[in-house]
Amino acid sequence: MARARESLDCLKRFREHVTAAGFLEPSALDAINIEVADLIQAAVADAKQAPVPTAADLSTDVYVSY
Amino acid sequence: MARTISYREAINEALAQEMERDPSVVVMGEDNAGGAGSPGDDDAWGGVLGVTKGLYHKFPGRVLDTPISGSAFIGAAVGAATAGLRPVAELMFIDFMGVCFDQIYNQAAKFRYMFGGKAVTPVVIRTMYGAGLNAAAQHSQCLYPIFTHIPGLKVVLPSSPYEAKGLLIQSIRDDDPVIFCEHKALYDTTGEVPEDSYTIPFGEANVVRDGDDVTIVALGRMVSVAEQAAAGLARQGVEAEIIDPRTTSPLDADTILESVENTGRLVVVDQATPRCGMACDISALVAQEAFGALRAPIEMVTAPHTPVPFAQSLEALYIPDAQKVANAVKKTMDWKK
Repeated sequence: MARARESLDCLKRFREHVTAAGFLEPSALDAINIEVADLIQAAVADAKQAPVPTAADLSTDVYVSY
Repeated sequence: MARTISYREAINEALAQEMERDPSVVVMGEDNAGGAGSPGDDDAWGGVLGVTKGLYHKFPGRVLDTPISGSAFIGAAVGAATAGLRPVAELMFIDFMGVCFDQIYNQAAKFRYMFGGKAVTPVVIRTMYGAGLNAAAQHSQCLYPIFTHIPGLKVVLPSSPYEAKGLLIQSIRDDDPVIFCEHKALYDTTGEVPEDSYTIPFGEANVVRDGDDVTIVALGRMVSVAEQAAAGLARQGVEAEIIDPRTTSPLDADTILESVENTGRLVVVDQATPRCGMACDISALVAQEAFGALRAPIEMVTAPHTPVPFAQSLEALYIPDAQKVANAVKKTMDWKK
């Protein structure tokens, strides 16, 4: 399983492929990783401090209009 | 002799006993043996919820790990069934039926009919359904009404460990394609289950509790919710009869109708969303066939017409509970023209 994670992980392989081919600089990929991690962290923090949803929220965002 | 085991163990035991009895029974699914590259050790997963744990060593070559491709392995199971095996395929979540639905509804369900009664497709698709484990909108649905809608499929909803074992053995021996729906919140529940092999016939509802005041038809996990509600109602002098249909296709209409003829009141409890579901189906049956016996409008306790919410507080509101069932019963008891 560890070997599979090391050699088959599609994100790792994508990184190797696009950097080896010269499509993207490793620094650009690192920047994306940092941006995404920050976004997730902020979203989790927001969700944790947000009020608990109420019954009215059960039907929120199911349709645009209904 | 009966002993107390879990719903998960009851399913495992049914599989083991049928594999022992009939060499044509094979089990397949994602991680059923233990995951890609795993030797299928006894401590391996045995499927995502451990249901097939231990079968790999007992039945060499008959417990197959499949790729994460419902389309491929459900198709393989259906094909193997037409070629003489009795495959039990594990579709991890019922929510994933979308990727393999053609193999089920347009192939397996149609072979008997389109080959003029010459084909048999004895495939069982075991699949996990239902809300309550905080698994969000794509892993919590109750999609069995969609299968029930398709002629040619049989649809099973075991409500307890005893039901799970007897109904699964029946499913494996049945010559038609069977969708065997396991509620994920039931896997750890326990109950008395005979050690010996036994079957529970399809289309024969179980009267879980006798009562003369109101009929509650409850499906799958909702049977225990109805029992909880009935215990509270009994303390208030209301005796509910609880019917577990066991299978939605075939549906035991007679037992439901006989009960309503006696009680005059019907509450249907289903965790599925309400449109085109079993609650509507059973209500329509009773309205048509037992209209004269009804003393109050039929009540339906279902999930709302929304996806299953992730927030625990909302998921709790989403799932029918004993209080909602009791309220529906009281509404039928208090109803005046």
